[in-house]
Amino acid sequence: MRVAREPLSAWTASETADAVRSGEVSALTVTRAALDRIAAVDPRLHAWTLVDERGALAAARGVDAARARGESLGPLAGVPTGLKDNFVTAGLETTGGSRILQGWIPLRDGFHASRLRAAGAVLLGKLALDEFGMGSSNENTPFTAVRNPWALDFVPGGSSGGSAAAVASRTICFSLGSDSGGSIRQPASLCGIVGLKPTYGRVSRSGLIAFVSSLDQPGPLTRNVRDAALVLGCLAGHDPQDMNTIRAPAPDYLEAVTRGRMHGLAGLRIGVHHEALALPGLDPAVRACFDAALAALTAAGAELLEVSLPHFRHAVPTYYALASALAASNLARFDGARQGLRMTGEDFVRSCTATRSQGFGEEVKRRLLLGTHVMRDPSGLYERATRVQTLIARDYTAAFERCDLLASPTTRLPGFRLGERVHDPVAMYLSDIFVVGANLAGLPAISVPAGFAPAITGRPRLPVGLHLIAPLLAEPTLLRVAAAHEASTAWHLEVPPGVA
Amino acid sequence: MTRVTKVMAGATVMVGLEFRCRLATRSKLFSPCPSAIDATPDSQVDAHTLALPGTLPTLNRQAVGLAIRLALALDAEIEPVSRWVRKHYFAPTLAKGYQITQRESPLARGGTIEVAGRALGLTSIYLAEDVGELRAGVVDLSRAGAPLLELAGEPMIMRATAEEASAFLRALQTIIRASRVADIDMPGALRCDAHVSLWPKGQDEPGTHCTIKDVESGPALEQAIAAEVLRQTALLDQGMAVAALTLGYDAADDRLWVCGDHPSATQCCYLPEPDLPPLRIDTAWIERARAELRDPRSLS
Repeated sequence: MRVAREPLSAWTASETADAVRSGEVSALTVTRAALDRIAAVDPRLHAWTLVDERGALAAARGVDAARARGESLGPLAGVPTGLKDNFVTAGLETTGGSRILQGWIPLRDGFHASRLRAAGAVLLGKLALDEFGMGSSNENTPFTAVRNPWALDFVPGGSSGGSAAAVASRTICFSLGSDSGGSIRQPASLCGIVGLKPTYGRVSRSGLIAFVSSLDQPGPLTRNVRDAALVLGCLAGHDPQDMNTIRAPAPDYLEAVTRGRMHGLAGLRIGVHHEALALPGLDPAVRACFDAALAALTAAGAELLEVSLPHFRHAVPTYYALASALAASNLARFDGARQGLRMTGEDFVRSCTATRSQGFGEEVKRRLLLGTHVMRDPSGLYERATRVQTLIARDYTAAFERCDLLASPTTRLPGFRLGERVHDPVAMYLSDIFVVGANLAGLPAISVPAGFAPAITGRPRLPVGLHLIAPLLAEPTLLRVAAAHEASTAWHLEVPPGVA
Repeated sequence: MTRVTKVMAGATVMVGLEFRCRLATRSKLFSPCPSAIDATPDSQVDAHTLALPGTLPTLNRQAVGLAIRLALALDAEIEPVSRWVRKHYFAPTLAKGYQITQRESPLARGGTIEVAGRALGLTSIYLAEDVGELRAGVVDLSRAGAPLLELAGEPMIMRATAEEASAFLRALQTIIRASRVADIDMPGALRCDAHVSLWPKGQDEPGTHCTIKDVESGPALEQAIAAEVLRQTALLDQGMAVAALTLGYDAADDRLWVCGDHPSATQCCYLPEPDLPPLRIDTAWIERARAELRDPRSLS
């Protein structure tokens, strides 16, 4: 058996769960190995903000005990995992990546922690993020910035940068991130792993600290497509706690993966938006990887065709108008009166102002100012942004009348160095150009490893992602195509040199 | 009261009434937290009420049912689709930093409260969540999130005295009692805001209005409006402008005071509430409420 010859850290979530269920390895052994690996590699990466060794070992013993009693184990039995620190976790400090929530220890698990635990997963701790999800580099943090396992002086992407770096560095099999404007897919691309953003409403947001309520969507970061399908299957479905969750039952995502791997893509039409590729700033190495990915898809039987998305160029400004306004709205609750940081002043307004001035970082303050401006704008900026959002969504609907899926690179550059863009927020915002459309239209999208930009002067060898967008609730199509691509490539098997 | 009559010879008194009915539901408007009107301070608080991160609103359908029933009792038209907005302002009594309301897209429109041949037309009837209370500087969130049905009346021209306004308040109390949607005899079950302005003769439009908040009884409403008319008259007589103020009224001392914890319209901003889908009310739901209105035994 292949898994028996490789170190535990190389096992995928599916392999680990199968081995724990069959008794080939105990959950305790897997958990100890993961904790050892965190201790060995994370001091270089800073992906973990909190490691709950005691809780993890207890959970692992619980899984082993359940097996000993002959109970049937869940689909993630004994699989080590971590959650982005904007997911609410019982007994574990939940900061949202912000000083303003430091010290807040929730009493109850949110939806995600409780679903994963019920599936048998072992929660090792919490993962770093840009403050409240606002950022594309993980540098917007009052704590330590996360490093990219492929090149330690490069950013891991964001905002789910800790979630991506922890999986890429093989400390855990999978993690959860949240994606409001590319925050799962962009770091997955920069760290050379799989990142899946489901259809808006496919996975509950209950227990996720809200950032852009109309766009936020939790999803898995994994090392292969099958694990993404496995984890999505554990999370997808209606949740009475989130009134926006979709009532349709979740289909069999693993079956879609098998179909893609076994039966190829005959009859499938993939749309390519060439106009977007022609925009300035696309790295030639990224372009080369993308062309190779398209070649792999056509070799698997897919047909390529050109599509048009007329409102594409408005996506980034529309996103920032909506996201800033909703951030200002959702972060209004942090007044220091109930949890986290509390500064005292003579009256409510002064204490609240002091708490927020001290508690929020620079980027959050920038977005709160922008957002308050958007909300108060007399010409109805927010309302207009939602109308553009509708136009953008219609573009996708029209495109999907002609094709089954859209493909693009995930990012324009293979990555950037820590500190390289912190003083240019607009350049940072534009790095979201290929990914925000899926959020605005509520569509499922995935980034999968698609090769490497070779080392050139001033830049090491870095991973590149292929980005796929599917129609609403067409996660099976997305997973099928991603699996077919993965079956014909080996990029997802490479190990980052920084943590080998 | 005699002085008021004298003043009104020179100016018309305009009064707009808004009523706020605390619906008698088991739980709050957006969470399963209990929602008794006579709860002790801070006894009805859960993660939602505290606005803990990660909590989302879930709509209480019992509150919607009671809202439809009262709207029907007032002969209002139920809107098949109504929407939620977030009304933002900073106040210690507002844990989320915004209040969820249907202010811009109400559950029902129209309807009337009739008193001895005169009818007060209602412009809109909508659900909103209540905010917490400030008692001697201490925040109590027991009431926060309780379901309110807001009823906005058309502005009306006052006749000789403020008695008419209180007659409408009493009439509404009777309708609410008959439709059994609120514990109408409990303090806080029905609160009334009065927007009062003077319209001096010869001017094109009424002057700036001031709002007296949270008056609960007919006599108090009469006295509060009378006191406010006197206050505005005195200002105008001295050639001073009326500033838009939010006022409280202390019935025991017959005293108006400027209230700090209610935001003015310019301090608030609104966003559509993305956590809640539009509220759709079908005929079956309306007919159920109509049956409950007619027959107490069919109460759900």
